[in-house]
Amino acid sequence: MSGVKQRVPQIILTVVALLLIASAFVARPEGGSAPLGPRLLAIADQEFATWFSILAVFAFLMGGLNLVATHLAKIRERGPDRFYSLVTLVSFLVVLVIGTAKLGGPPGLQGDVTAPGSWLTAVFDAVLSPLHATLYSLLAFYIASASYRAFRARSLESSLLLGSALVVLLGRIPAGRHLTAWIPEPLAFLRVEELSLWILRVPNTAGQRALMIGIALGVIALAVRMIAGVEKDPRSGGDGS
Amino acid sequence: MIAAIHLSGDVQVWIGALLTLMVFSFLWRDNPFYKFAEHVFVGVSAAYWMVMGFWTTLWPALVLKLFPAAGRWSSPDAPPGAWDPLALIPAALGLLMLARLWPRLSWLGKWPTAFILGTTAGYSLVRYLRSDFLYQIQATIGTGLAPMAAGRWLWQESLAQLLVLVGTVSGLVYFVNTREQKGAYGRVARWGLLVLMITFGASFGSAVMGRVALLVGRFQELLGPWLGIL
Amino acid sequence: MNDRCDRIASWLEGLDRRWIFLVLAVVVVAALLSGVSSPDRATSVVQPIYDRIENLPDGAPILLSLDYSPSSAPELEPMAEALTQHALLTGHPICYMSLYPTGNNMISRVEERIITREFPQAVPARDWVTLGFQVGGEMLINSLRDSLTARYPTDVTGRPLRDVPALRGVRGLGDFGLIVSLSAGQPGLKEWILYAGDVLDVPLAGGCTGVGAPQFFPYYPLQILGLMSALKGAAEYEAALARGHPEFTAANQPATRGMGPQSAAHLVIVAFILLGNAGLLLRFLARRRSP
Repeated sequence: MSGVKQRVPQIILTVVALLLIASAFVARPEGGSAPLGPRLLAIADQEFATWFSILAVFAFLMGGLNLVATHLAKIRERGPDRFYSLVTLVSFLVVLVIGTAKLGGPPGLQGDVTAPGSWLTAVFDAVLSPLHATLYSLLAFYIASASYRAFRARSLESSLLLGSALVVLLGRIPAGRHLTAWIPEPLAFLRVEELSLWILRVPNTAGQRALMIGIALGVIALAVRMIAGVEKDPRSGGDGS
Repeated sequence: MIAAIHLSGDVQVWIGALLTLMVFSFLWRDNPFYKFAEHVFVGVSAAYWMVMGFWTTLWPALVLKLFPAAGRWSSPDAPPGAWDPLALIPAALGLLMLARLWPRLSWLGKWPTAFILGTTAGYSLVRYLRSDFLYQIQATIGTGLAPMAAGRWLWQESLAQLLVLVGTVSGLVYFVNTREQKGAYGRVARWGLLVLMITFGASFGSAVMGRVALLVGRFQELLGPWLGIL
Repeated sequence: MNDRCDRIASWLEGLDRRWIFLVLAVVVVAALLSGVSSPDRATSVVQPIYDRIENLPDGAPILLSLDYSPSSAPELEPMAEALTQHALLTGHPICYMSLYPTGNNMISRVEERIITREFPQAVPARDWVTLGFQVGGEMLINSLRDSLTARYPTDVTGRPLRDVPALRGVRGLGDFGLIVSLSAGQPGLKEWILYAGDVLDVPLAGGCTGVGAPQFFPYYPLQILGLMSALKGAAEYEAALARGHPEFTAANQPATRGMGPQSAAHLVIVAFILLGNAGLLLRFLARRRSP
């Protein structure tokens, strides 16, 4: 039994991955007269992507159930934050009912769950959208504070970092454009908006490309290790069972 | 200025504005208003994601394939689809995923996880190899270092391409940690570090731009729809 | 003298961050109220997107994937609005979809603000169609390669895709005249490049947030034909549109208007960076002078 527990996940992983890799090198056949092999690979390529999406929804459901379990436990333990757990639970359940029953909008279960007039869209407009946007906008304040406290020209490296950031900061706004508009046309490439674009297109492209190639090699190596069963992914059985 | 204020009469706008102010109150210090808003956000967004996942994906890709007749409730204008036995596989894998909730059956939850990892590994291996490795090498060296236009040598473009080539190679050299960075090799790695510093500076400048735009957006919402000043 | 330098440096280092927050907020509000803005011009990275739409064959549909949530809407929504206006002005049907769960609501906002208000004569299903959001990210893109109906048998209103004139001649992603992903992160433009642009022979362009912009420059111009980055990219596109279509100048230009407060905030942050370094310099001077 323990053999099944250990081997089946690895077999699933390897077979699925190898089929998809093979499918990338075989053209998707048109019509039903194609040989069985290419047809099977095309089905795998098409269906596995859809199954993945379905499983992602199940993961959403698991996440929701976990959220309920966690906050119910906090309420039962009568901890100091139980009121906030109650707030989370109530808002979760209210939106779940509104959305699942498709309240408002088109009649019955027809049409889009977010159709104009639906209650889910009202919740989105009044609650989710402002909260989502404001939580992220807080970062503008913290990034300003971090710029003041941490952005110091202490060495050649940090000076380059600072200089490049300043050029991009100034070159991406109209005020920066006016700042260096006096530079004559033959030397226009020295204007801050041109320099800013140049930094993004040349040194930034080089640095990002180096990072990208490094990451790609990492992803490829990780994929090969997983397919070969060398990599122990914590999500697929880190406890060894 | 106060005379120009026209407060909104829309309840939705008021709720949005008050929640916005609750979140902004965190800038002073952590407080119950912020905590309230934060917990509402967690609950609402989790439910919203679940609902969207169910109606947009699970319903058409699984429920309607297993029970085509259910289509008359959601889209009566569309002809009912055919029963698809292949849909039983993701349904079974999905149920196995839920088995994780019961400790004695949790080992079955590894099967769908293995499928997800296999799919990710299979797809990403080829895609990353092509787009982020081979095409990046092609873009770095493949375009030639001396572009011409109308018979003229574009020296600025050529210089830029040369710098991209040198910067990319030296950046990669900097990441290689299996060899001590000394001598000529060390100097190339040092050049790579400097290129990376410029890259990170550009990223910071660009990130500031993004974050500020979000802040401007929030103030626009407060001053416009809520206070009616803009 | 040394004491004074030290005192000023200490004061600068000990400044409560809430003063920084307050200054930033006041400056942004003041700039918003003043309404200062300055029209931009399209750079060589943005212009190709505009040119591509201008030169598309008559009636070629454009796929617009709004891969963002409300947190990135201030940067990306102006791009969606400008592209929608451009497509409708040039007679190209638009097909909206999204890789983000909040995508349907983001699409509705663009429909309401632009199509309903500015183009009341536009006909649903003929001039635009909304496929909406589905879970899967890159897997969704992969599923749509050969056939949209593999994942979207109907549009969001329940209309079968074969009854949608906007998608006449479109089977899979490769049949669009142009695909544009407005991307806030993952899944987004990168997934469109890896799973559609580099796999199919389809022109791909993108818009992205300021945070994500630097990582997309390596893909330009080989793998994406153009890139709008952050609010500046949107303002550039608005400028190109205003130049090419004078009727657009009267319309709302949210990105161009937003660049005023954006400028003010950038200048404040630059000033704070310089102030922080001034403290470092003063400390350095004090140490050098002390015996």
